[in-house]
Amino acid sequence: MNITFNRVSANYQLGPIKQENILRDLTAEVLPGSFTAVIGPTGAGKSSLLKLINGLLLPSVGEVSVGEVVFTAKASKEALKQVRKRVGMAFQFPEHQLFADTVYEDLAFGPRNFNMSEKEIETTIKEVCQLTGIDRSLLERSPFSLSGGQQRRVAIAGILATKPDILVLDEPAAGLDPEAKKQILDMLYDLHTAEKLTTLMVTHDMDDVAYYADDAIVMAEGQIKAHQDVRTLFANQDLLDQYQLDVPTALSLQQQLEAAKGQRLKNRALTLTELANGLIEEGWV
Amino acid sequence: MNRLIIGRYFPGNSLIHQLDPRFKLIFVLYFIGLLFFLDHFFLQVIFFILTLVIMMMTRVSLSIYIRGVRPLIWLILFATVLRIITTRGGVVYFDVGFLTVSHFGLLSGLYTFLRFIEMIFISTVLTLTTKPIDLTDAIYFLLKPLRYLYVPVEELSLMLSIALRFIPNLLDETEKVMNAQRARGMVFGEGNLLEQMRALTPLVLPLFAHSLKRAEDMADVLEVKGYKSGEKRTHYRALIWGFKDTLGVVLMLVLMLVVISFNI
Ligand SMILES: Nc1ncnc2c1ncn2[C@@H]1O[C@H](COP(=O)(O)OP(=O)(O)OP(=O)(O)O)[C@@H](O)[C@H]1O
Ligand SMILES: [Mg+2]
Repeated sequence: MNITFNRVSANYQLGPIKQENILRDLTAEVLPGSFTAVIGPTGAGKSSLLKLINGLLLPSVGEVSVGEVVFTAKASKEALKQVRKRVGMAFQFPEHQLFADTVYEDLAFGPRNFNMSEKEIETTIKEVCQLTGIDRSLLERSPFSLSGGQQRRVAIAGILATKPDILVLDEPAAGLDPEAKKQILDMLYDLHTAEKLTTLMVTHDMDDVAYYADDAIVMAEGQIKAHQDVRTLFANQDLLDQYQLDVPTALSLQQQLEAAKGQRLKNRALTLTELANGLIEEGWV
Repeated sequence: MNRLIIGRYFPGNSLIHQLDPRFKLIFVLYFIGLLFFLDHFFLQVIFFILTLVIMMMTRVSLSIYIRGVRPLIWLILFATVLRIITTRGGVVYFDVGFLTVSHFGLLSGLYTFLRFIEMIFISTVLTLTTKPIDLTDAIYFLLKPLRYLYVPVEELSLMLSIALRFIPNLLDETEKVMNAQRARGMVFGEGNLLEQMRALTPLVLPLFAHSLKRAEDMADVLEVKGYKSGEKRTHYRALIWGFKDTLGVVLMLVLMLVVISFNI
């Protein structure tokens, strides 16, 4: 499903006192089935951008459209409900939203809000548990008694349980150990490809961008500074420097090797496999 | 985050900001006390003007104060109307059964209204110009004598300052959890009372769980850093009583004399 931003500005204003726009004049189009990374320094407005997609933040100027639904400064309850059913949104530290007596009940919360039948819910929960690696024995436990990593899985499973077409992920792996992080991201990526989801993911880790994303939106000071294919982005050193973005580990390694050797490889490598292939091709190793 | 005015501190450098928090706290309590003895029109005028002057001296814009009154406006109007219709005396303009609108009634309705507004304004002056932590220190200072009655004043003031410190976090978190549940299809503020109450569970429980967790962490940290209850302790932030504060006390005495002279 298409997501488009058309000259959108937005702020967190409440009541009459004027506030500066936090997001300014955003225009972008996210293509159906793409995996888009949202990157930029802290406070750039990345999380706010994600909130626009399911109407948790409404534009003060301009419009956001998600499929056929269009949000402007005013949005009907119907439109909100419709979009929120399609958009699965994981906030930073999603485990803070767990509340029910048992893991099962928590997973069933979203589907029930969207009026799925109990039978449907049961099969869906089975599916998402399998997908996210939640052991069936956990279903009757209290979510508060789980470890941090398990809680994260349950929280993400609870979001997948509503069967979204669009996944919006705000640093889904922040604060996890490298192993758990890789598992969760791989799982989300596999789901993205298998179900042909449209995915947006905020991340501070350029390796995630290199491994998972097709394109990247670069944000700074509440504006979209660039929206490019990942390969184009990492080829544009000036842009990276301007917004203090790192490069993926493989590329940084490549740059160090090139500096030491005084020669350049033909292509910029984004992943370690690409780098290894490049090195072998050029006969450096 | 920007909704709550009462309890918010506005950094600044006005004369009122510079006063000793102990003086400000005492003055505000005293001022509110005096508001109950203003039976004369002239006194009402003096106190109203005084309140406005103090508010102007804080250099915080009037709209901020008015926002502080807004949540309470219905309560105030209710009290005022009640006062008007239940008081008799002077010229009677309107009279049905126990409902009377009289000259006296209108006047005391006006007094009630002003008293409420002034109470809110003056307490807002205190919280707008005093850091919560300074206010806690001032409260601690005033409660100190209770130590002799074995009231754990130190602990109370620590509790108060920790509580104040975490209010903004709690507000932020409330917003986050609300958003997360909304994203999962929850609709707040819809349906009958029972449904609305039930809708609060997904909001309140995570907040509780998280606050308890944080309280536990906090207790551990205090323990690790060697905090012991019941010890005598010194203060990092010393409150300094200045000449301005003494002048303020003189103002308090003058006010007292004015009020007394009108009441005899
Ligand atoms: N609920 C809110 N109310 C008011 N202002 C907010 C709120 N949330 C964010 N802001 C402001 O909006 C701006 C952008 O915040 P946002 O959370 O979108 O940044 P971010 O790019 O996600 O940062 P990070 O990488 O730290 O998560 C910040 O200046 C922040 O202070
Ligand atoms: Mg963020």
